[in-house]
Parts: sequence; structure tokens; C-alpha cells
Amino acid sequence: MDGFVVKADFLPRLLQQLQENYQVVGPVRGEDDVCRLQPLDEWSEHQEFSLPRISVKKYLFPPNELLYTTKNGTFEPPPPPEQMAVVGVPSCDLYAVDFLDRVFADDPLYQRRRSNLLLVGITCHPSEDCFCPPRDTPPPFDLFLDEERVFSGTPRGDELLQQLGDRLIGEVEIDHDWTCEAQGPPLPENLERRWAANETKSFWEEIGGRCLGCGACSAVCPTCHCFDMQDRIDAAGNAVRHRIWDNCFFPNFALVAGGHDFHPTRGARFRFRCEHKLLGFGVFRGESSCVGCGRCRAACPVQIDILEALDHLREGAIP
Amino acid sequence: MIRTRIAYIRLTSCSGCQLTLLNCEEELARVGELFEPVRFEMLSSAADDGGPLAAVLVEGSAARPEEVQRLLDLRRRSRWLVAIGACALSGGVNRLVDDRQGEHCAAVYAGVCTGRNMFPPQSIDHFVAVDLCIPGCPPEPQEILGALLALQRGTLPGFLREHAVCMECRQRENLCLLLERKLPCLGPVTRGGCNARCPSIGIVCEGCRGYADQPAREEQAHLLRDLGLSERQVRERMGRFTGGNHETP
Amino acid sequence: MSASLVPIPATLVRILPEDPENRLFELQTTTPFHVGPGQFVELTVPGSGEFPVSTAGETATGFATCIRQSGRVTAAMFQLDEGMIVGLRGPFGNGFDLTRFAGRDVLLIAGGLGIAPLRGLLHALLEERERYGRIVLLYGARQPENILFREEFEELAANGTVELRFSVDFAPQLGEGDGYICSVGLVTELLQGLQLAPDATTAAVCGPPSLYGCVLEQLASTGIDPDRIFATLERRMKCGTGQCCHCVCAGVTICRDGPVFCLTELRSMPGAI
Repeated sequence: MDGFVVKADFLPRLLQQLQENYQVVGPVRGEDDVCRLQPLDEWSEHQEFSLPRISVKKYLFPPNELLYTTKNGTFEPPPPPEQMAVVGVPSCDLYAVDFLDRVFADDPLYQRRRSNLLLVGITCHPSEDCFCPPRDTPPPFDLFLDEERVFSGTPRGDELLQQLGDRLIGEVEIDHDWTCEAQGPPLPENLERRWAANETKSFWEEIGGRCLGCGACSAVCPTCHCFDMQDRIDAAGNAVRHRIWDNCFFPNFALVAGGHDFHPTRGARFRFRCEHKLLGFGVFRGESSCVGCGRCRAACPVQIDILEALDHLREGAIP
Repeated sequence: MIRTRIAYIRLTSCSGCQLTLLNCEEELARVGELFEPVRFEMLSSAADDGGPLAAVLVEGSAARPEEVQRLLDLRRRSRWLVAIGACALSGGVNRLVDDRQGEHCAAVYAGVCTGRNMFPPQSIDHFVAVDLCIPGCPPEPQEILGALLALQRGTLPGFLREHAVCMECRQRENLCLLLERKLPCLGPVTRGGCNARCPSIGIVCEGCRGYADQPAREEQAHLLRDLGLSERQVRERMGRFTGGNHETP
Repeated sequence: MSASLVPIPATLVRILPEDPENRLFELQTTTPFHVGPGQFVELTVPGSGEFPVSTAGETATGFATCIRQSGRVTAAMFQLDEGMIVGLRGPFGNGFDLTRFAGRDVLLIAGGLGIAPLRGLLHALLEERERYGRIVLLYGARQPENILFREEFEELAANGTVELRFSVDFAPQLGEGDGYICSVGLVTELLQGLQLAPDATTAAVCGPPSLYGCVLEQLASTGIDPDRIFATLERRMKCGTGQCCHCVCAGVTICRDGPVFCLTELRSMPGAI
């Protein structure tokens, strides 16, 4: 990984350079005061890098993605996606990409998108909702902008810096502290045992009693990756399938043929979400995938907070 | 190619649902290639031949004995029965009628209709088995068309969503009208599939698609009361399209 | 295993009605497609949807799967004719580890449609019959006419290949040909009087959740090692690759880490059975 001090106009020049080969997107604050990732047609002097409502996940794992179209008895995947560069991604969202990269490591459609996506990270300015976990290794990025410095994380990043060599002043050592200043409480020790011992169902049911089951928390989460698939016939008469975001708060999420529901209450569904975020599923067991961006806390219409669940687990007795 | 035989009937309703379908001008030619409208009064003047049907689409609520009769007749002839729109699904806005229905009818349609043979409007599943529900007031055109294309291939469609509007609203990264504007939006309990049509242009969800699967009605009512709505306002807002304005949520 | 969500085409070469509710579909692919016993595949009815189903054994040209018409997509599947194309993904899951059965007596306990994956296992065992000791099949169905693959099993029993006992929940009247129906009641009643050698027995169980609730611990109480009592779980497996999270139970992705688990594992998975 290389690091350089950059000239003041590095960022606009970088965008110019990127625009030659990529569709460039970045955070844009709309008239409704909501920040979203969207195409950056031109560079604004006042470009700000707030946390967008939905992370870069929406490009890697789109909410509604065509999986195949039937053609003469075969199942044809869609054409490959275009090259895209996302600028101004805060490190929490980059760590989320790292997680998704591993979840979808064997998924050819995801990997196709991923290899066509260039990531330009940026030092974030935490909001009051953030609670990042401590980090000792850098997240994945092609380039990372840290105030007046730039780091390259991949050969693609190196190449870009070469092209922009006249905007670099001098090489610097990379001493960036990857732990965000908005540090949240560390995960409680013995989390797995605390979870297993967590018999106070009343806690989950109390939260479930407030929960609307609307799914906003999962919809805005940069690491939630539950999905469903939907089939239909398109106007041309072909069968098509889309992968769509699903949500563990939806009543049919764990319903099996025959009508048995493995998550019958909203309390059980909330507990399932916390288990996924904090303890991980399958090969990810033991790894928290919560990056501390705080989006779920901000999005909940009834102020349900994943930190409440953490506190509950921390305070609970373990055998 | 043999066209799939369908019927479309309207009970007590405004015809808005069938207009939604008939306004799909780009797709209508394709629909015409695939389907034979055996009985579809607004589309075709052909006389119903009385034969078997693949599907009958029903708009409107049942409010008169002859409507129930028509419903039963078509149910017997059809493999599938599709309820279209809020009136057919829950009684819709027709359920807002009070117990002076006959009086109002006589006043408005004096001499034409006395309202004497009417009963309180009902959802059609009170009378016949319903295979598929397409919600909305009016429904989404793409949901009607998509359902027709699936039926034509011999399957009930699997893409109709039953979860809350919030999911799609969040996916569109909208400003949350409930949380950030303190407006009485019904998104959390209303069935999605409309791609959050109203909240995306700054209008609260009025609940026209009926309740989502397992709606958190009490929690939603609590939220609305917190926003300053009276008990009656909460009831009216949540009951408008769900046939439930007479009950406490 | 392919993690791709894009199916490959498979031809329905034969469709056999098994009983009023179930049909056996034999599938064939253009490229070799091997599904082990206890593994499952995802079948697509184009334009309708996809559902997970276990294999009920391999055939000369592919594999067979027994499907009950229980929902929207299986209803569409039942509309299809021989020669038509469906989509196929997989195979998924761990399947039964035959080395855990080698050199031992084998006890197979099935309830209802749970017989399908156990038939696949049975076929795999019979390919090398000499490697195993006794093979006992206990199979509970609702009524005599719901006993799937009945002729096939009775033939295997008649020539001494397997020991067979059926139980049914209801039987208006048992006829002369119903000799293998030993009880009217729960399949667990068939365990009595089997004279098993628990130390030398490996068991595999497949059936509805209610079956697991009683039979697994009952087997353990007879002395069979809980590491050698296997069950295959049913969940809402959508992707098959451990990504979509629908089938997760106690943090375990049933589709990828399972669906076959031994009782020792199941005991540490709250809510699994």
C-alpha cells in the first residue's frame, strides 16, 4: 500500500480521470435534505461526504437484480454490468463491503459486479448515531482519501495514482488509525455463551411488542444480505427471475411448506436479526457483521436500538 | 395459438381497477393476443358464451343479491378467481357506508334505485374462494399484467408482495414522513408492491393496498396517537381501505 | 456444488403418480449431475418459482425426486408433462456420510414424505449391500394408500434384503396384502421388539417435526450413540448456498452445514427440532 500527500485539486482531478472509464457515483444531498449515492455528473466545490441513506451495497447487491431470462429452454444470465466508481465511501461501509465480499465469495453475479466496482474511500465525519468497532486492519479500497493524503490499496489504485502523478507531492508513511473516532462499546466477552444463556425471553418480546415489523432497519443496513427470488413472465413471454432484498422481519421469512413458522413473533424476529448482526451465521459464526454505521438506529420509527440488545447481553448473567 | 379464456366483472365499485388495466395501452395488444375476453363489458361487446374459463377477475365489493349470484356463477366456471382492488379484497371505501344506506340511495337516486335490496358491502371472499388477491385502490398496473401473464402460463404469480410499504420506501431512500416529518404515514402496516408510490412524492401512505401480512396494528395506532391524532381519527385513517373503520384497530 | 443462482435446464423424462398427492419426477441433464443421498436440489418451474426438494435416489439417466403438491409452485410443477424442461440448481447440503454406516446395522425411520430422502439413502446402501449388516426400514404413513414406493420396498423385504415394517395412522381395514403393516399408530411403536444391537447400529430419521420430537431421544435411550443417529432437517431453503439466511437455525445454515445432522449436533442447536 502506497501513501502520498496530494495537491489541493487532487479530488476534482481524480473525478475527471475516473469519468473517462467509469460511471462515477458519490453522495449527493437532495432537496429533501436526504443524502444518497447517485451519479456525479460534475464536481461540486461544496461536495460533502455524509453517510448516504443506503450504502454502496445497493450497487453490489441491488435491491432488485435480474438473475436470468429463459431463452429456448436455457437460463441466460444478464449481460455484465458497467464499470462503476464510487467516491467518498466511509470506512464503515468499506468494512461492510469486505463482509459482503466474503458472503458472496462463490456468487458469480456478485463477483462480476464487484470486480467492475472501484472504491474510493474517505475519512468519515461520524454522526451521533455511529458506534464503530475498533479496527486494526484497513478495509478494502482502491483509493482512500485521508484529508490531504491519499492511499492506494490495489493495483487499480496504483494505476490511477500514476496517471495523476503530477497531483502528488510526496510519499508518506501510512499511519492512519483505522478505528473511527466514534467508537462504540466493545462486544461483550463470551458473547456466544451469553447468547445461549439468554433465557430472558421477556426482553425480546418486550422489544417485539414495540416493533412494527416494517423492516426499515434491515433495509438500510450495509451488511444485511437476506434475499428472496421472484419469478415472472416478462412482456416478451420469457420467464425471468429477480433476486430481491428480503427481510427477517417479514412474517413469511421462516415459514415452511405445511405452515410451520420458525419465527412466529416479532420478538423472535428481532432476536434473529441481532443474532445475525452480532454473532454471525454459518461460516461467519463468531464474527460480528455490525459495522456501527448507526443507520438502523436512525431509521427505526419506534426507536429500537441494537445497542439496547448489546447492553442486555452484557448485563445478563452467564453460567 | 389458443387464447386463454378470461372474464372480468365489476360488482359495487367505481371501475377504476379495470380502467387501470385498460389504460396499459402499450401492453394491451399483447394481452389481446394471449387472452380471449369471454366477458369483459368495458372491453368487448361480445356476448358471454357461458363456457369454462381459465380465470375470472372480480372488481368491487358484493352489496346486492344479484352480484353474489353472478359471483357464484363465474366461480363455478373458472379455474381461478382473482380479486382485484380494495373493494373486492376488504370492501374498500364502500365499507364506509353507514346504516342509513337505503335513505341515502333514495335521496340521491330517487325513483331509479331505492337501495332496498342492498346489504352492507362485503369483500368477495365472504362468498367465494379467492385464488389470488391484487390489492390497491387502484391496483398497480404491472401487478395486474404480471398476474395475467403468469395465469396464462398455468401458474399463480409469486411476485406479489405482502410486506409493508416501508421496505420499498427505504429502498428508494425516501425521507421518512413518519419519522422525519411527523406525518401520519401508514407505510409500516400497509401492504407493499406499489414501490412506495405516494411517500416517494412526499404524500403519506393512506393505506390503499390494505394491511400487510401480520400488521402491527396496535403499535401503528399508538404511533398515530403520539402524533396527536384522536382515537376517532386513528380509526378512520386506518380503517379507510381495510373495511375496519367500525372497529378499534 | 455450484453457488450460481442461475439454474441449468433439466428434462422431466418420466412422471409417475405415487399416490393421490405425490408424484415421482425423474430428471435428466445434458451434463452429468450427481446428487448424493440426503442432499437436495432447487427445482425451478420457469415463470412460477423455485422450491427445494431432496433426491429420492439416482436413476439410469439422472435422479428422481418425490414431490407433494403443497403450494403454488408445486401446483405448477404438477401441470408439467413428460419431456418438458425445468430449472435445476445444486446439489446442495452435506448429505448422509456413508462411512458412518459402513460395517454396521442400519435403522431407517421415515414419516410421511420423509421416506423420499431415505429411499435415496437406501438405494446408496444397496449398491454395496455387503458393506452393511441388517437394514431395517420403519415407515409411517397416514393411510395404507399413502405408503410411497410400497411395491419396491415389499419386494426388497420379500427377498430378504431389508427388514420392513409399516405403520399407518388410520386404516379402515387391513387386507390380505397388508402383511408388512405392523401397527396402526405411531411409527415409534415399530421400534418395539426389533432386538437391535445399539452398539452396532447407525440410525437415519426423516419426517415431520413431530417425529423428531419423540423418536431421536428415544433411539438414544436404547443405547445408540447420538453421533450415529442422523436426522435431516427441513427449513425454508431458498438459495442453497448459505447466503439468503432463510433456513438458519441456531446460527447454523441448514442448507450448507446440513441438512443432515447427528443428534449430538442437534442437541446443541436450540429450536432445531
